[in-house]
Amino acid sequence: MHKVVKAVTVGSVGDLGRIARRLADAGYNINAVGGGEGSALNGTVGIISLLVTPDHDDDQIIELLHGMPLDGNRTLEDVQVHAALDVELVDEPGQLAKVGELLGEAEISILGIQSVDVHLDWAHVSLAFESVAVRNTAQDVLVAGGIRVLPEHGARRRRAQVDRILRGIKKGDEIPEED
Amino acid sequence: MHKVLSTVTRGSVGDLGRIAGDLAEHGIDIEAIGGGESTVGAQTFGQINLLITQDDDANDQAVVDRLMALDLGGGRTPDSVRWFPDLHVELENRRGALAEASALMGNASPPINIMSALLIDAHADWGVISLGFEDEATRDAARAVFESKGIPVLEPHGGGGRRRHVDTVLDGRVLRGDTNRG
Repeated sequence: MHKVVKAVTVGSVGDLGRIARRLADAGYNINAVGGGEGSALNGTVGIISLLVTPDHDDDQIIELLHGMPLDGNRTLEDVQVHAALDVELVDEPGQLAKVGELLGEAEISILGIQSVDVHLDWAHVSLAFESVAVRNTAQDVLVAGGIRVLPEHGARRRRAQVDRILRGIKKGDEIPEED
Repeated sequence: MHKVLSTVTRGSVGDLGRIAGDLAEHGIDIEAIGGGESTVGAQTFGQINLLITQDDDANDQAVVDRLMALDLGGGRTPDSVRWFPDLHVELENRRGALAEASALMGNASPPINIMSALLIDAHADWGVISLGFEDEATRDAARAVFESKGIPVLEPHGGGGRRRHVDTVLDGRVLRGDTNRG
């Protein structure tokens, strides 16, 4: 999880399913997803950010999605693989704003964002940037601003750590009322 | 967490900080976030979808009105701020599960458009995802499709409930700043 795949569509009923199917059939796991569709250009534009494993072969992912057929003779408007950082925030109001403000003041554009895991007093968020150089600058800015940047694939490893404790919680379990 | 707040901006270095800052100033918790920025044609669009704790109907319009007027710099304000009713769907945590669930929407008759997709939590053998829809009727149609195919749809705010349930089990054993032991 040190890169983010971003796919952009114009159109688009059913596109999330097509993108996810294409990745699954090629052996990619989607670890996190975030995005949606909004009004723009007198129509709709959909931007979806994905954390996938494996994520070491940018060209293969782009080749897989670029030009894939959608309905109505459409293809994806844009496919990019961005260098990403996983940050650990305090789980309280204002933390995400602080990240946005630090990077905004440094004129660094966040090209993709998604929450990966939130529990107890922490929240892990993945941030995507234009290039490795920009990501490295962003890391310096965030660290100087007091934001903890996780080691590469840190959010994924934290999730695995939590999984080991959670072996008793299974899909379909009732959620206790008192929670 | 039974609705998704969707914002679209045109511009946009620093917009995340401004939008999240406004929500924080008003004491609003962001529970999950997803989105990105891209150039389509000659325009750069930024889209941010948010699950927030305080999503009671009484404040919906006030949130939209305030964010639509938010100063993003350079004379810009957001292009669009909308709420989408959502479902919290529990999927198997395996390759292809999201593709199958999404395809159910695309293949429904009439097809159902997913306006937002946000991961809430994924651990062990499960993943809970928020899927947002155009309106409540579409959300209800989506729920019927999922349930007819045996895909569990959690009660409203169910994703948050599951997350808190996990917190109870963790019981302080994985805290902020811990070294990630992979």
